[in-house]
Amino acid sequence: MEIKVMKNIMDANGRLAEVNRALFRERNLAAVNVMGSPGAGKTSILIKVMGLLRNKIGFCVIEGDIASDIDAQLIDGMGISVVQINTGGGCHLDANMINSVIDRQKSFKNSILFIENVGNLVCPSSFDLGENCKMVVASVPEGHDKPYKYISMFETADIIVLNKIDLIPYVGFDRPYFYKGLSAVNGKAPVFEISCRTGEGLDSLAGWMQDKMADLIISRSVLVRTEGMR
Amino acid sequence: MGVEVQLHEYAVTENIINIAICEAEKAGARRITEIRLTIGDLSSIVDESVQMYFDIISKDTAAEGARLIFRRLPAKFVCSCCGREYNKPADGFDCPVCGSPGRLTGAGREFYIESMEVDV
Repeated sequence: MEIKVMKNIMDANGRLAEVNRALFRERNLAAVNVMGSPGAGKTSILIKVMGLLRNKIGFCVIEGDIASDIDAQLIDGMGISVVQINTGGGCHLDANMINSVIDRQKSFKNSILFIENVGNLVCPSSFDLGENCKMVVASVPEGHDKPYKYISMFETADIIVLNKIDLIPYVGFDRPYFYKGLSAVNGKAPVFEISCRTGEGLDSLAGWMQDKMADLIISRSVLVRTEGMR
Repeated sequence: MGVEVQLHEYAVTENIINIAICEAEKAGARRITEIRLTIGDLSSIVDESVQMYFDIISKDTAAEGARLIFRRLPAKFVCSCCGREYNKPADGFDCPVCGSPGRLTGAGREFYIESMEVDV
């Protein structure tokens, strides 16, 4: 006997992502899901951006790695609240893992929450965490063909960072080809060219983060206050 | 679990089995013999990995031994110049007819169980 099913297989994760979205709103967290290859510079970018903005905005971080807490230690060293998730071989973070961290970490509120995903250009793009923004980090030495090979990752991005631009003269990075591929799969995400090493472009990236994400936190707290006054 | 490195297909396959068993119970079926899946090429799912995990996870359930049928849907682009819709070319994203740049249409992210064959 045949049964018609027509059920989305990602629904279980999607439902939990909605729970997270509500939790983020309740705690006044602006959550940024940071994705990119291993070594693209995800942690370095977070450290730089938090360094530039921490006097103006609160931050907290969830670090996702297959193993180790090397990145979490760096962030802890800055005096910023950080929780490490080790996926123990798993290639991505999912909504359930984020949910249990947020649930436990009551101090995570009124901040930008960076969720650094496992270094991987494939799977993390398929798992909604309930975030407000997906940031994809590409880096020059990975090559200009990445948008052509990892369509799904670049398609889902709300913001794209191209890191290590100081290396362009040395590795033959074809910028027009990179941007051509990018515009075919994602015509809306702003791209920030930066170098964590030289500091180039970091101010504009931090400026965007402040405008978009910090505004989200502020407008929510204004909303809460207005509602409270009624 | 006996599986050290988990590809994301592991979690995804658990979902497939949960949905399938739940639907089979609703229909009063005792055994699932076939599950037909529709998978878009952008959904980052590898058929062989799903099949491998399926054989492990479905053991001792109503889905054990079921045949998985994968229907693949390509990523589609639309030409920014002539408006033609086309499947992702082997090389680059340009329109195969007029050579102008294309844009993703959104097709290719599908990932669902279409239907199943069961024994009642």
